Amino acid sequence: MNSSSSIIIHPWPIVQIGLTNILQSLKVDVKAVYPSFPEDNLILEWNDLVALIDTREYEFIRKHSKSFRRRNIAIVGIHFDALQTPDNNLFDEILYQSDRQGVLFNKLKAFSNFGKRKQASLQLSDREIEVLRLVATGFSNKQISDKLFISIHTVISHRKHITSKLGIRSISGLTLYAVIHDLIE
Amino acid sequence: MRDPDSSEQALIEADDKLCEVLGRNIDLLPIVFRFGISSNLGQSTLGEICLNKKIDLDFLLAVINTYHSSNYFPNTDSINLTLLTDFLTRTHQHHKQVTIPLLGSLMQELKIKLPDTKLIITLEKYLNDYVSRLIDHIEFEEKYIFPLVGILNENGRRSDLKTSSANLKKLFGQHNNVETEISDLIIIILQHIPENADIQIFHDILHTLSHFEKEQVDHARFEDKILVPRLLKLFGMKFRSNEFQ
Repeated sequence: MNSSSSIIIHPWPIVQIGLTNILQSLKVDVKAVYPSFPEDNLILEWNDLVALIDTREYEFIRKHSKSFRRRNIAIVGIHFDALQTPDNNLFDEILYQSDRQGVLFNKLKAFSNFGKRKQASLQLSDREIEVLRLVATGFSNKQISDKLFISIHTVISHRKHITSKLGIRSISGLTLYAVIHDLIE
Repeated sequence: MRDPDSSEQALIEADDKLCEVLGRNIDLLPIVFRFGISSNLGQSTLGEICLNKKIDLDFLLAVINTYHSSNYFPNTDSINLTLLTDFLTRTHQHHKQVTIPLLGSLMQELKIKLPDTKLIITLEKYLNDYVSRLIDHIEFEEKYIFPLVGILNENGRRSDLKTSSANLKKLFGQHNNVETEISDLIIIILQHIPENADIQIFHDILHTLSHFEKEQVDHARFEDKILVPRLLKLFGMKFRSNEFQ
């Protein structure tokens, strides 16, 4: 990963454009912009990024918050609703409509390096991280093969690469590594 | 060591002075302790010490050379299995009474220096789980494997032999895990030493773990390369001879 990545979920084009401009000025890659929460299968592909999400989507955020933590996704709330109070526990940061541009810039700047250090230390591809998560959670090669729709041979190949890159051979060692890196709880 | 300058791995022999052997490889000290050799070494050779203390010289040489040199391995058929299981039991006691408590105290020290750190909490849990599995493994060996030597000496019953054969096979996989898990722990700690951390405490833990790992590898070599094959072979012969009776 050469720069931090982000996604934006908000229905207003002016918010989408404004935040995209700030993020790009911070050299944060905006991978996608959605007017509302996309399908679950798309969400499951997100790893190591900053998700800027409309706080009115709190039901979806609550549903996915544990999964986001596990996959090293920072949640930044976009709160432009003066009548409601956002649930602070769900967000790593909250952007308010009343925030001036400089304040928004500084809030987002804190996330400009997000994911880079962790990803660099992991040195694993997204697929290898997914396999590592499943191995560390106790899944067998066959179960991983079924879950990810890949052959057992491919699972074994991923596991060899993981072992080679991390220098860790035992399942308990891989589990320890995954816990330290917040890949599993 | 006929030519000690030619190689650090030169074999240790009966006429070598023990103090010089230990001077060259201080890691052998706890191994020598397990034979009851701990004081007044003076200028005595290994042969003289064994004679005075009534220790089997060939067995002592086989053990300390195995720990001393990774290239050396003794003639498996000449090893006395009763002496070997006694030695392995004393090694278990050393792990339980010295190494494991030492690792525990180092981990406590680390917790004081880096309180509430996720890395330390996770490492401590891993180490506790590892120790728990190791204790189970040690108890399994002492309960089911080591007594087989006595059963063999007493011309064991066929029912004992069938159960024992399964237990011997189970032992192989366990050894592999025990060694790998400790080397993984060393690698993970090395990869995650925090910035501005007290390097000395990490050094102490890594040094202790590294020494522990080497002991585990050598310990497993004795069991996997000598004890288990000898027992399987002896059981096989005994089993077949029973079949013909």
